[in-house]
Amino acid sequence: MKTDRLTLILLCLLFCISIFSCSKDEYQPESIKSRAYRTVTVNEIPGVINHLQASLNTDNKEIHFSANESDGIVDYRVDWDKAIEYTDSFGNVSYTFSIVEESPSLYQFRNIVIRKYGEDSFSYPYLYTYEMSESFQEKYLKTFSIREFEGRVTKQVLLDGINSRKDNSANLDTKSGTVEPGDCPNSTTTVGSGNGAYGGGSSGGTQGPSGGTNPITAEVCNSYWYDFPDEPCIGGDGCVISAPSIFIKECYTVQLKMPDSNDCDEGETAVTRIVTRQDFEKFLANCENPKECMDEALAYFRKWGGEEGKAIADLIEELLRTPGLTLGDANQIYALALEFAKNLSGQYTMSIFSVDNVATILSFGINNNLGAKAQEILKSAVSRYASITAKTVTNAKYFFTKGARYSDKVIQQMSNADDIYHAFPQSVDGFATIFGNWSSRIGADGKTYYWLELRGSYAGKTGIFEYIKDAAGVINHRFFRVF
Amino acid sequence: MKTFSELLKKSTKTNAAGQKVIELNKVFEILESCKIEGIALLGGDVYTESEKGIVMAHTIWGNKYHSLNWYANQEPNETDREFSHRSIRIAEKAITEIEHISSKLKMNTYLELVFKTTSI
Repeated sequence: MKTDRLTLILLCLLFCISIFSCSKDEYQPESIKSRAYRTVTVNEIPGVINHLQASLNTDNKEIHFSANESDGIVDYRVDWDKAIEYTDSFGNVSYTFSIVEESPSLYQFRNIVIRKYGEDSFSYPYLYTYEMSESFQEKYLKTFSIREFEGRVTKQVLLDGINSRKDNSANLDTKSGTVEPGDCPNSTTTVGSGNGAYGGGSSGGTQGPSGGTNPITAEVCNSYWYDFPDEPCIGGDGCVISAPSIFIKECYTVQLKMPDSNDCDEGETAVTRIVTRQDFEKFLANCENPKECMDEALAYFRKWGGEEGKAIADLIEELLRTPGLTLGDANQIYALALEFAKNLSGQYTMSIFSVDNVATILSFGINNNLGAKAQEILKSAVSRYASITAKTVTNAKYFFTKGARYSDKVIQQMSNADDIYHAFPQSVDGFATIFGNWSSRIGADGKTYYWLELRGSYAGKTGIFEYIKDAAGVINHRFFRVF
Repeated sequence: MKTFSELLKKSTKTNAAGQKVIELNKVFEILESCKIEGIALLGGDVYTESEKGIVMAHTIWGNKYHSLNWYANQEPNETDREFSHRSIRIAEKAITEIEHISSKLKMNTYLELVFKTTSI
């Protein structure tokens, strides 16, 4: 009897062990990566250090560099003891170094950030300057914490220039660039400049002189929302900022790359690679890497898309910052960006892809695989961006109700396929109801009319879908008004 | 006297967006032919000349002038003939007002007329 009981207990134990061992083999989704911070020392990241030293044109671990600030040349030193390795939710790795200044300001601090692109491939070092807003300064004095930072952020490309070749300092001239042809006479040369301002941004770059044998220069401005957690800063108390996004506008003076440029051009910004619409269309036709396609698309939106293009880029970037976004979601968003880009570049002639018409794209099934969270943030973002130019926003959903009907004239115009600006798809009506702006205006006859307007693009043109209804509820105007 | 279709063919211009429009001073002749042939007019939109070509008038003159565009819907018990007469009366009244505004603004004006069977 005792033996039987012992056998039973042993069997139970074996069962439990087998259950627990099975649980270890359960599928663990790898698509959702969590963000990770890690303090690193100089010896742990020799590749990063070598890159930084090469960028600053020095082999000294005690890197000093100077910047031509508006108030004179300021000397900085990199603090190697305060470096953070940050891995974002997409697996992108960046390194942030703290900067020690000779005359530090209580309300301002600086970091150097380098992004890791591959095993031995890194971005240019960027110098970030964080200036606290007045309201945040008061908060900071009480807490000495930079959590929920508010203020101004300036991002500058840190490149070696003429000065650095002489005295181990980098040229950070924010007003004008001096380019030395060096060993790559035909290469693209960028001299960093730019300002980012909280809540709006300001243009900073000015036209720099051309150098070498390639005289084609252009000022390229790039604005985007910068998410602090992607590149943590290191403040006075060593904490990591988890502040909301900050709008940054950065401008570069670039020398445009010629077709026969050599490898010296590598590492420049996307905007220097895509300099024409034709280049972009060729790129779209051949690009295979979804992330790479999207990055180029966003650069294209900002450069060529006007206000609408910038709004689309902002929208896409906002979507990509969705907390809990999976890689599957990200791939869908890359596809969305590409659809926008194709529309903007004229590859679609009868589509209505635009920032106002994201819902159309969803209805076409392109993003049906978006996760619930991403769909939620998408709807929210679209609602805001759809009203980007609206001054009077009322509840548009009532426009087509309460006895509203099209006049026979409008119905006839809608059926005339030759007149595409009157005969745009009826599906637009639904989007206008959701995302359009409704206002009442007085006509030249002194009567009240109701206007429903929806910004969008159609047949390769950007404009406004207009609907006008009279007091009797008759909609006698349904027209796509091209800008 | 030319027929309705002959007059249309002679008077119509096509703008860059594909809309077929008629110069304001030729419209009354076309309305006369509509009366004779019993053709109903569902309404019309006003266009004017701009740097971009011939475009909707309210985009140049100001949004309030959208009210110059007019329509006529056929009533359920109304015969086609009755509707033709009524729609032309509505059109004549609307076009008279358009002429007045057009001369005040000193702008070249065109109309897109939408007939019951076909839009020109």
